Amino acid sequence: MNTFTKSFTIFTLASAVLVGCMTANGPATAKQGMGNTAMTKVSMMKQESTTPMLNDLEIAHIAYTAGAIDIRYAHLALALSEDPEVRNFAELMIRDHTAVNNKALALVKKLQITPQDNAMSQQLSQQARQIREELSQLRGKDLAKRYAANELRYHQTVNNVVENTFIPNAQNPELKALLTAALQTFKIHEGHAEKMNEKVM
Amino acid sequence: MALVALGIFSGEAVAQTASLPQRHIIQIEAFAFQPTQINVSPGDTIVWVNNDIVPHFLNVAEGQWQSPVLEEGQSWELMVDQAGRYDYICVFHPTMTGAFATK
Repeated sequence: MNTFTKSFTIFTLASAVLVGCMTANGPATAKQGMGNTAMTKVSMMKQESTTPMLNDLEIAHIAYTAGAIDIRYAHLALALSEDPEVRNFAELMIRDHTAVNNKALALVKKLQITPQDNAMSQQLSQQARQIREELSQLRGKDLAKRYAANELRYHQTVNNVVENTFIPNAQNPELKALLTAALQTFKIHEGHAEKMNEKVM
Repeated sequence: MALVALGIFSGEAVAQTASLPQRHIIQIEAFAFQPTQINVSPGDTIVWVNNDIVPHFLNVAEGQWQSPVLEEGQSWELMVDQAGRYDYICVFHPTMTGAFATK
């Protein structure tokens, strides 16, 4: 049996944090991020009994979706912002997330499997639509600050889930390796996002 | 044995052998250059190999040389014949830094 199809129970904490942080409104400074994390832990406890079983195909779908979402944020930022910090970061996001997602597509093709859409992917996409709508209403410094804050929060959240849930639980060794390499990339992005936040303030 | 023989019968040949240009490989991996710093001789070639899944773009000595965009698995060679210390960075990921010295 292909290990890729084996299912596992995703850690509730990670999934709740992932979804919870995507719903956060307003600028995401480090301080505010801690507050929201505390809130999501509460919501996590409420969701514990309803956390879905996720398999590798669903993990792959969520990871790809998360990358695609960040690419769309970046395109929006490039369309609306003249801030050089924002533009540099957005270009980096497009370049790196495209590379990671292309690796994911290549793996999917090699393994002849189809990632499965799931509730978490859908929730991510729904929240991303709201954030894009919010970003699209902003200009100038307000846009730069909001974009920077969202990117920091987004990478903190996704990195937490990838590191503590997806990688430990991925069954397929090639998927696990790709997630590990992707996490290295996303952690670099998180560091860049921290610097961008400092500069646009 | 071969070197000894050359030394006995042809001192000039030994000198030429010792000065043959070398190739130095720098692996780009996990967003770092390995090794981070190297010493090379004039005429040596340095080869950067990108093992990361994302592209990198090297800027050497503040723009004196620039690599093309290096996708995963691609490499770039640079031959330096001028003595000096050269710092370089990845333009895309500026926390990635390295240096080589030619003397």
